[in-house]
Amino acid sequence: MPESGLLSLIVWLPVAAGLLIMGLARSAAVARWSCLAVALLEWIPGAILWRAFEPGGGFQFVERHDWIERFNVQYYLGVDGIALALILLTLLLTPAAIVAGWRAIDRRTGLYYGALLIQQGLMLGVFCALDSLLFYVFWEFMLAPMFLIIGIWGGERRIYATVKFFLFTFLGSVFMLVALVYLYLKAGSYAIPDLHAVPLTLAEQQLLFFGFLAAFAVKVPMWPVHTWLPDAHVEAPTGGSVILAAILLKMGGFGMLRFSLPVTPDAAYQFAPLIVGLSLVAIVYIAVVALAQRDLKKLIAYSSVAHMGFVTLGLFIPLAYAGAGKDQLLALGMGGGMVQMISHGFISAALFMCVGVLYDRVHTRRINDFGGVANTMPVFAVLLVLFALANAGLPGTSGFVGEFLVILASFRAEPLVALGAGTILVLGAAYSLYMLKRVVFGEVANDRVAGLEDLDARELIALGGIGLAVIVLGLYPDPLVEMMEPSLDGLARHVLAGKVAGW
Amino acid sequence: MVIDLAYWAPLYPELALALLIPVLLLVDLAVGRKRPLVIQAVCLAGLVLVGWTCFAAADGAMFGGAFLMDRLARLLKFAGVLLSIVAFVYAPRDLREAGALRGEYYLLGLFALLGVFVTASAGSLLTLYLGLELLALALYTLVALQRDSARAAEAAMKYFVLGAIGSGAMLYGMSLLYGLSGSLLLSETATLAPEGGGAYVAAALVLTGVAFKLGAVPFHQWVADAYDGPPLGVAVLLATVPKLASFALIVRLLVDGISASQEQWNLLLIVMAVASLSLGTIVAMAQTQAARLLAWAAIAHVGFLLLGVVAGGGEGLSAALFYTLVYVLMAAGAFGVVIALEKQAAPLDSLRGLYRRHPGMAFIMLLIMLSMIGIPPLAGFLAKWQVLMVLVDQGFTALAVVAVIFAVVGAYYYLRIIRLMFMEAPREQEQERLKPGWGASAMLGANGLALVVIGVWPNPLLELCRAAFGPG
Repeated sequence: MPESGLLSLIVWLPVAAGLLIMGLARSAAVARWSCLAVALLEWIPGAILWRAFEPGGGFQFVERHDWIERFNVQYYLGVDGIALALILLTLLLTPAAIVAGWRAIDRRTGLYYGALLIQQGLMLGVFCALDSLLFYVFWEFMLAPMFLIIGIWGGERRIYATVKFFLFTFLGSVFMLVALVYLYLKAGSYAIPDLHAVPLTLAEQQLLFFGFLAAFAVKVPMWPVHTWLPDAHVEAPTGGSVILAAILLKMGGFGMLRFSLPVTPDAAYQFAPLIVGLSLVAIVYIAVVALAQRDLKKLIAYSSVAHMGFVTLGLFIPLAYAGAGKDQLLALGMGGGMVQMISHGFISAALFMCVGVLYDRVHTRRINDFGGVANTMPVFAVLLVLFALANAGLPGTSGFVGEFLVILASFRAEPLVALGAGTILVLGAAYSLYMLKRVVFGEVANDRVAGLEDLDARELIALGGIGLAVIVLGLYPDPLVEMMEPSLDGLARHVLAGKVAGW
Repeated sequence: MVIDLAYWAPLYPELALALLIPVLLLVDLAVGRKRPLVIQAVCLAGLVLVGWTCFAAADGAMFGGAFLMDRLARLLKFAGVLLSIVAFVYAPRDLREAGALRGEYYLLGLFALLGVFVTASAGSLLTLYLGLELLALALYTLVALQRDSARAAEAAMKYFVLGAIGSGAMLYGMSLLYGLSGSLLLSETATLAPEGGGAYVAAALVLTGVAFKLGAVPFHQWVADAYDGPPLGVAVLLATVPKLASFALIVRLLVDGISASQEQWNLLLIVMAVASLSLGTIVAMAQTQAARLLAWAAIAHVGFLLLGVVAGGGEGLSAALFYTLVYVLMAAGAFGVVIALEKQAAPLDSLRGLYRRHPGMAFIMLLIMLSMIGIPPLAGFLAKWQVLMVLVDQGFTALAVVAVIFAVVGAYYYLRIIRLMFMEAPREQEQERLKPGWGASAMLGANGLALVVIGVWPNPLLELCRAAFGPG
């Protein structure tokens, strides 16, 4: 396939537009509308990418140029099914994140919307990069706009939260940098396919595995390095929360699929029980923690950690299985993890937007300040119930598909683990319904709730659109699965082939 | 006698600079105190010419090998000229406020630059010491430029006494080296000196001197005062130009001069590097004055740079050289922004709300801070990344891990500056918009842009740094 430059366009258009908006937008309206326009404009190359993509064709839309010649670093972009799914998720949800701040962001709008677009471009860059140093550039620079978004437009403890966010993620990433440097010296290249192929001894793999794990576990985030997430979410403005939960967290899972599993397959096999154990703690313990929250955003943040535990469980549980047909099982587990990531992207984005809708109106997020919202905001209540139930894994919504696949894979690998993982269906339902009971149903609790206005057109379009996606993915996930399947199969075979004989 | 110009070709930059100094002295005498702009203009124009001679000069050795013009010297000299120009554009605003804007400032700055030139080209122990002392004496005087300020006097006193001790130690080491090898030429001392106790003592003493000049732990005590005591316009010069001479000192003296005992001094160097990195990073967190923060951060950066020297070889040295060049660029920019705040002895709090008072400047400072943290694709990241690569390559993976951990710890205080600029309101008495003047504005813009350009397109600078230590 000849080089098209399509990926470069997708990555750099928002960055360039973001810089322009930062520098030039004089009024809030100009900043908002131009930002939204660019984010929607991105859908066009995104749609072309989706239609032209051939599942099973390996890395496609490849662009490859020398960048830093002396160290053989390349400007090397390309997508497979895994990356494409996440790119489409990013493209679809960025307009929602923009709309989420429509009312709440009223100062320094140019800076905010510019940062948001730059953030989008950098996230897309992470998914497109096929050179590990380029990957690292996008991965790391992403901290800067998010640092500003949380720190400038956040809540009361925003500075604590944003510094914590930056330092946690930065600390994780630098270990990945050392791992990448080591791999470069081994392979003579930073290109990711070369890193997949480079032979490594088990001892090397073990250290490299933890180098990568440091970066990805913080980003996912896995228990016990998840503590930055509730703080960041609670303090971030709604748009920032949407980006964080819907897309940023997915990079951890994406990184595991790109680096941890294929570059260090034998170490991944060896340490799979550890990851599975940590995932189970996240699923069970964090879900219980979510049950006890009084702040709506915190509840959703903890629920995110629990659901991302499902993702890491799906990626690693099949490795613990010893019988035949392991490669199919691994593809199943990874597929479940991917579907769970996409689904959680939509659901968490919608839930944070719902909290934003309430917060914009009454400026509180405490669950106890609400009650009987369904009486004054019926349309909103319908959507919130939908998303909360999807979050709990209601069949017919996208939340069910991912959880089902992961539990299925777990069951075949180790029924006891499946039992533990299955508790999320109970606990998820518990905290979701308990929250709904206190917020949505019952008598109107106070004057502020009585004075609530229902969704306006802008909010309705955004939330309704996400609701549609959640239901469509729940009823008919085939297009998504088919897009990713060949890439995941290939990855599974590569992982199971291993790099050290005798495993 | 006809003067053969071609014979003097390797010496062009020094000759040009030595010519510029008396010219400037005369101009200062002629136009007097009333027209500082004229002096500045003459100085900058002269420096541009000197910069040109760096390219016009021919490679070669002079005075029997005591003076070397090679690619490393050329690069360091040109960088020195560029930095002096940058500093001379930033400085006047602050010096005028401090009442220290006199022709002497430029003159002493040029003398310091001449010292850097001579050091960079040193081929013998004598030339090296000559260049270093020329630099040091000019700097002592610069620090004391604001005569009526007690703080400046204190800083100058500390700097002078400690610097003299460092020079003394180094001179003693040099004399031992000469005694052992019977030669002053750096190319011969390494091979002629016999192995054994004497050589180790010489190496340790020489290393002490190097550490003093660099401001590496445990010989760092002068740094914070020397940055903070004098006016910021002096500090910007002090923080940048001499670093080039220090780097030349490392290469010429450590690597060329006492390479025979490398195994011994490498261990000392590792200890110094890690100590500088850790102490500099940790103490910087507690600072409240901008200049002091930058001083302690400089100590941490020196530690990182030394790790490149520890890894050694052409690769390690070129990584350290790249680090040095990028670091001085970042430091110059950071001081440039602090000077534009129009505060004598600027506390960090005066950065509060900078985004509201001057968005462009806040963005440039943001770039500089991100670069200092080591966020890609800015120049500071490439510098750190190269040092990591040579460390891992030479089997010092543990040191690489220590280095990145301290890079994360260090991020804390750079983030604090970003936080003050973007997330806090300006102080009550500092609401008005800043007007840094067009010269400083343009220079700041170029300075910030340079960090991005080097980061995004580093190939030319990488090639220069590699060639400085390459074969042939």
